[in-house]
Amino acid sequence: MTASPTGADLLSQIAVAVTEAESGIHGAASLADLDAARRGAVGKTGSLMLLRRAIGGLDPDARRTVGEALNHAQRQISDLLTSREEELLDSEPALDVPLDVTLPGLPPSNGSLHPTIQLMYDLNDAFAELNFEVYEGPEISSEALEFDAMNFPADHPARESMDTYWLANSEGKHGAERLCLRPHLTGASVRYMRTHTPPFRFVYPGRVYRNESTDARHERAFFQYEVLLVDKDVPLTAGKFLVDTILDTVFGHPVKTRMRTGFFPFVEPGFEIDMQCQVCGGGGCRTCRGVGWLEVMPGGSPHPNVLRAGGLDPDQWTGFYVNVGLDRLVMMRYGIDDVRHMHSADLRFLSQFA
Amino acid sequence: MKISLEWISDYVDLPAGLTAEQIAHDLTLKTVEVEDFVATPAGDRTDYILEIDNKSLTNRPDLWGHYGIARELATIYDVPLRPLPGASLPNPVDGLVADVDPALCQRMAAVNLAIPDMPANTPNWMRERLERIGEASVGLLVDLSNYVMFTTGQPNHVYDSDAITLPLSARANGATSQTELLSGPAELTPSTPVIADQTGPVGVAGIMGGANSAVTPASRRFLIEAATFRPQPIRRASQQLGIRSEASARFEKGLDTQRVDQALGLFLALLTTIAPTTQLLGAQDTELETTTAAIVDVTEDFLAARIGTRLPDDEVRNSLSRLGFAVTSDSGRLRVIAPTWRSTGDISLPHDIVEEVARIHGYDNLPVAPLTVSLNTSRSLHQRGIERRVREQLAVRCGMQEVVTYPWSGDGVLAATGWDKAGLVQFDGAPAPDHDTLRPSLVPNLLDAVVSNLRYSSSFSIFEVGTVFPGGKPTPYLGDFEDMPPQGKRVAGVLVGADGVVVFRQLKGVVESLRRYAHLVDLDFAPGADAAWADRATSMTITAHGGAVGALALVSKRTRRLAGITAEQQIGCFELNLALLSAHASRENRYEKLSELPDSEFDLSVLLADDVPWTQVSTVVRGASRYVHDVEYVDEFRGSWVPEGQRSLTLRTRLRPQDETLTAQIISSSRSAVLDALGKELGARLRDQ
Repeated sequence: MTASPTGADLLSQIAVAVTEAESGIHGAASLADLDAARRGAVGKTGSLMLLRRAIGGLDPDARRTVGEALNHAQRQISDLLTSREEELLDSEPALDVPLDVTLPGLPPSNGSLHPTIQLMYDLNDAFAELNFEVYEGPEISSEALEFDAMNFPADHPARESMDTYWLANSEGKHGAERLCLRPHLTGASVRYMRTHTPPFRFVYPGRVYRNESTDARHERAFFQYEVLLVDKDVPLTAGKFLVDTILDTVFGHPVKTRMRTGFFPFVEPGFEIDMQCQVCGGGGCRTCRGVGWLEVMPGGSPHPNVLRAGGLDPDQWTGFYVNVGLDRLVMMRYGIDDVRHMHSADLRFLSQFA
Repeated sequence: MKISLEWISDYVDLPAGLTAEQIAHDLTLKTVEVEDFVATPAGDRTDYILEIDNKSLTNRPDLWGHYGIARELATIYDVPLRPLPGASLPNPVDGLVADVDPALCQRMAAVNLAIPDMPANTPNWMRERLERIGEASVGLLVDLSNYVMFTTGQPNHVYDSDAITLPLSARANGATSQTELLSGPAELTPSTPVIADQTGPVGVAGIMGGANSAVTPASRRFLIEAATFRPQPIRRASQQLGIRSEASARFEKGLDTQRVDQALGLFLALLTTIAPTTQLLGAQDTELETTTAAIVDVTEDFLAARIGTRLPDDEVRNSLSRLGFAVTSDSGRLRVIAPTWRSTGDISLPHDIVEEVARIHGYDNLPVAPLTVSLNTSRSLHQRGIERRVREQLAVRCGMQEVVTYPWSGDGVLAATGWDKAGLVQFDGAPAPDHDTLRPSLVPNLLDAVVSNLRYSSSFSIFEVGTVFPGGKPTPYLGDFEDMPPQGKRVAGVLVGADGVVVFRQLKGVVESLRRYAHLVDLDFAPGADAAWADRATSMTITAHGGAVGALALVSKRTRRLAGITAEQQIGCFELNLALLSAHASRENRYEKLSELPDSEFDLSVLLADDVPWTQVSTVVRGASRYVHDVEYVDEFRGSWVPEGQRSLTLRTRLRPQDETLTAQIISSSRSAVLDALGKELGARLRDQ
């Protein structure tokens, strides 16, 4: 039988085993290689394990020395294995097939709201922050609410069929019996006034109808957004604040506006509110016909006759209306050049707005 | 209306250096909208023609002439306004004006004159001014008549006195007759307002003169007539005849009777200068109702509160008096007397005085008042509402595209979806004769949208939220306003795809999801639906609160054919009445305690008769063992090895531990219990492996 190895023999064999393990670990090109290196060094039949079994034959001093050397070698190899494993993990792909990362993403959902409805909700949210309620009037309404209560003179041209869609068999009828598709939203404000107690502030978006021929700029059916604030001593300039709220919401930045005199039967005084042309920035272009301003919304203080029609005392209550053509703002928001797309239900158009 | 700045310069000296652009801007902000301005040569100088939007003049009859605009500019720039040249009327005579109908006319004045030595031409300065605002020169008397109208805003008419038999009347025609007007032949009705001489109508009052009484180059004796016609009869006659003239546009706005003096005075002053041989033979003036100046009492406090700031007293008085208002004040109370040219309806309320003062100050110069938000309960937070939740759920979670269609439907698609036009709501002036019915449902127009989109896409899903008008007995709106036909909000959706089963189940999933995500109190299904467009075998009624609220189905072959859908694809459709749904005011579902022990599940494939519905299978499985927590439909199969009238149904049963871990024995006995129950109660048997 061969002589038992001495402590010195074992120490040099440990050094050799460590060197072999090191080169095995460094040379491992994959996790499988690394696992083979791990087994060769520190596995059950690995080189260090075999050496550990030989410790039993040594004297106590040598046993301690060799034991410490073995523990040290094992830690050293274990550290190397860990760091090499991390290196290999870093370099290995998550997929075993190639992936073209420039492929388009898979959409979670293709749906979206109609661009006009999106803007309507944006505005509802903006006005909600100013404590405005959302209200809705009926789409079939009457001459009584849309014209009589709105202080339109009895022979105002808008009452004629050329402007308003009257329901069939309305001839000869007047007031509450003469029904129409609402030509504007303003009648709804009187409905609200009659059923609520002032002060109040509310918005009432919706679709309105005019009997006219359609082209890129005109539609028979279009959305309006109207706002009414009623309180004591509402100054004329409150309207500017409402307008700024609307335009800021639409365009995402403050838009320069100007208020000028305008005439509508249901307001006194009345205004036209212009915004600086967002196409040319006010310098003058085709969109604004060279003047730098675009007429975007009429507004004004409710005429005393309108407040009376709503059951309010005009000596006590004042207010401010702002009305805006929602489709027109949508067109400006996206640069849409034909209003007829709005009612087309054409998915090639609608799917562009999320 | 076109305004010449050179013409204006007769009445007001505008500040030096003021550009036409600035004038256009200031007028737009403070008075009327100037749409454009154009430089035009005027002799060796340049004139600027302002194009004013007539719509912005509808309430300002005083601005339909250069002098009115000059007054505004004098006020805006705080410079003096020169008076118009004038002349007094010649001696009163009889025999020029006879009957004047007070319902038609407030005042009618006429001047008889002769010009033995007629100048050959209109003076150049007048002719050029008229041409620059787009009026062709016709001859001295007509040019003068036009010039006076474009200066004062008062229409007037010149007759060849030898072509008429005086006196003139202003009255309703009284009969149907044909007449030749300067604009062409016209049919007059009994109610048409006319100017008539002793032989009959010589023109339509306030609108258009007659051809037979018109001045000619040979005319030497003239009658000049200026009247104040009431707006309504002129507007009606203008609409009825289809003639809109410069005169009718002005009378429709409401003129003051005093302007007749201004117009005749200017006419005579200019005429006697241009044609010195003019002989004034006499005048007759019939004035039935003089325009009275409107008086408005207003307090300084009211002005300050409405304008939002207190403007200096001097400024208020100065602006008003320059505009022609007389102002007296007594300890904060103003008495404002409007000029007659603003007293025909324009000015009547304290609010009108607010407007005058504020606009001249400049709305843009007023400080902006931010709104104060009070923390009260004026707004109900629960009213954000089902409609928005439904829309967002369908678009964002279900991936459907929202569309908006017209509120009317074509006769063809209405018939295709089973609607009888007779019971529905029609309207006048429809875009097309077969599109005069208000939609009773959202489905017809959505099917139209399907047809048009199938040209570009083979599978898609769309929805619409909108008002429908299903016909029926009119009921009072909001209790007592008007009796109106029923109208209400609905949501409808359409899904187009190749596989009908998938289309149906996806669409059903969409509707089911509304209950959860729109937080609806109730929403369920019952087999079968009575919608005419629904395929009978694949239809369900959507129910809530014990009643029907809508329908869900594949679109029937008949409806597809009639609606012009020729594609192979299957079309699923649902419609829901939003008014019949209610949402929880807050969240209502209860938290379910989480088990610390793991669930277990097993799949079974069983052969089962076709007529056993899934809902029964689900009920039986859930009742089979106390460990069954849930059962899920996986799929089903019909094939060669499956007996006729049966299907192979795969279902997944989920077991939930009660108090102890699910052992192999519990799982096995639960599985047996499920199979037993399915066999005993539904005749199902395990598929051969």
